[in-house]
Amino acid sequence: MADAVPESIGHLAEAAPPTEPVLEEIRKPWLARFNPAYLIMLALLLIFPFVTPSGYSLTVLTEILVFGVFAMSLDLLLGYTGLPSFGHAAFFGLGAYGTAILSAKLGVENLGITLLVTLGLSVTAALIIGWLAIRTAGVYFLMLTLAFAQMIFAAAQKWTWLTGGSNGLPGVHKPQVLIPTLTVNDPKAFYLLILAFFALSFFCLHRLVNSPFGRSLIGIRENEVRMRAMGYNIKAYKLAAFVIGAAFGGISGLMYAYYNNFVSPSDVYWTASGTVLLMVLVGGAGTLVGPVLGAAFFLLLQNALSSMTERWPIVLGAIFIIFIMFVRNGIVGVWWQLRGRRG
Amino acid sequence: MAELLELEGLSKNFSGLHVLKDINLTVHAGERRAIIGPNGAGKTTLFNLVSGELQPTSGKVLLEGRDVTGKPPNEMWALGLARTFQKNNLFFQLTTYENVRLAVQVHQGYAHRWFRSWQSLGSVNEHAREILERLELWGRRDEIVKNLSYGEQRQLEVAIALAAEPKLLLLDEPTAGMSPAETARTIEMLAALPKDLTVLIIEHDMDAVFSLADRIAVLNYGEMLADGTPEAVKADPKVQEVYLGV
Repeated sequence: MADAVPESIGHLAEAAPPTEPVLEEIRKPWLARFNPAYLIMLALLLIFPFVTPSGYSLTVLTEILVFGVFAMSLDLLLGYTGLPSFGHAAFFGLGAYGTAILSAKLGVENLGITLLVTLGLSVTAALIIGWLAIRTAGVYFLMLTLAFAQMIFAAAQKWTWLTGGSNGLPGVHKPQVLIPTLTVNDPKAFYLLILAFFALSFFCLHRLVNSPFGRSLIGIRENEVRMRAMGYNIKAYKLAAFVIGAAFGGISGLMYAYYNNFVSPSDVYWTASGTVLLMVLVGGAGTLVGPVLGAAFFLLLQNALSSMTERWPIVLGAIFIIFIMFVRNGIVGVWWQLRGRRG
Repeated sequence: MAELLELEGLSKNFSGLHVLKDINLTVHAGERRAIIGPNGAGKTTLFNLVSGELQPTSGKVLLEGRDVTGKPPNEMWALGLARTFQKNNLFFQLTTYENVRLAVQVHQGYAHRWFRSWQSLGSVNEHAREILERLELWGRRDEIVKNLSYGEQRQLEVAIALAAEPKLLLLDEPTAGMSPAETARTIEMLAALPKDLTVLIIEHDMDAVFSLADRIAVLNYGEMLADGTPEAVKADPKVQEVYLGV
């Protein structure tokens, strides 16, 4: 298989979803085409807080959902469009800091206002960064997105009166939802709020990647030159993907700030961009489920290992090396192979 | 018949090398015109000038009487000119169906829709199906393109070009590298293309040329050596001397 991979990003290019049987599916109503496994999964996630014995597992699951959205948003760029962004924490950070500043500094508790502001921040930044970055490709794209993210990291670090500098910004309150009196302080209620964000993000991204637009992105990933010759405006599509990815990245930052009640420059540092990149690769780029599984795998493993040994980063690193080198298409690829869907 | 494509004094130099010299050519709507000539005669360069891949050094390209000289390939594509390449340029990791569907969805103006399912676009799917059936690729629709035979990939090139419903189709050696059986099948398929479609074809296979073309233009060292009906070209002593080897 490896011989015919056209992209410089190696096996990523092969992560295309398996062939769909075309005509049988076309006439079905949309809901019938939505994989019932997703609905079952959603039901299980809804029940989870009411059956779990420990608050700890609920906290971990909340964090997985937060980073699940973050990883999915990066995968729209990396896995679907073939844009290897190494600065995706910029948008996560803008969302997180935007939320934290509104909540801790300005006392804004209304979720709707916070959402609009953080979306505005990440989309504006993405238009500027994206407009420049999509003019490059491959490793240059990677370096440029990294450089912009580091600029935002520097702002978080140095703009002390606004961001708290290297001490970070504590005191982020849980938001009010819909009506001023409904504040989601209860962990179960907060989990359900995060789940709502996750489910809506998944739904929107699922529609997006299965739309003509999403298919166009895959075409660009596979053969940009051919797409251009067919009349596609490549730059417009790439910029749109970049901005949409950033918007969902910003939303995941908002979720994170509320979850953690605290943000710090390390959330915008290049290691944060690297972590989410690993989540996508380990889970399976070019799918939506993969990045979520990757986030779950990473966070669960990190939790388990750090309780066993101080040297957990070494073990974690080794596991990731094995994954990147030997496990094609990540966890999702393993699943495909077990089900015999990929020859 | 109306003139669809006119080339007026078209020349191309590559750093002093005259690849094409003062080419004049008129192609009428619905015509099947073959361009033949020895290797290095400038046939593909001529295609590249017409489709916008290259800029001419001098001269003009007119499409339906409109000056389109130097327009980029995507604009030429939108104006109704589609082409295939000598070397297959496909989405090798995607299915046969998806290759054609991507071309159809942009042609029909659906490519940027982001909330509808791609599967719900009836007219796109219908047209993709029609084209694949015409090129006898429908049975291979769910195959990943890299697994297709070379001949099938050549056919898919034509299918993608047809997806844009072009007025003018440029085929650069559609049967190159095919087995004799595949070549024969391809000639049949090309002969069955709609009669209102104008086709310009570069081809080395003389059976293909003489069975498909209404008129034949002969290039030699960047110059137009002859241009006429197959019978006239066959009988032309200059052509016999340099090309047909008689």
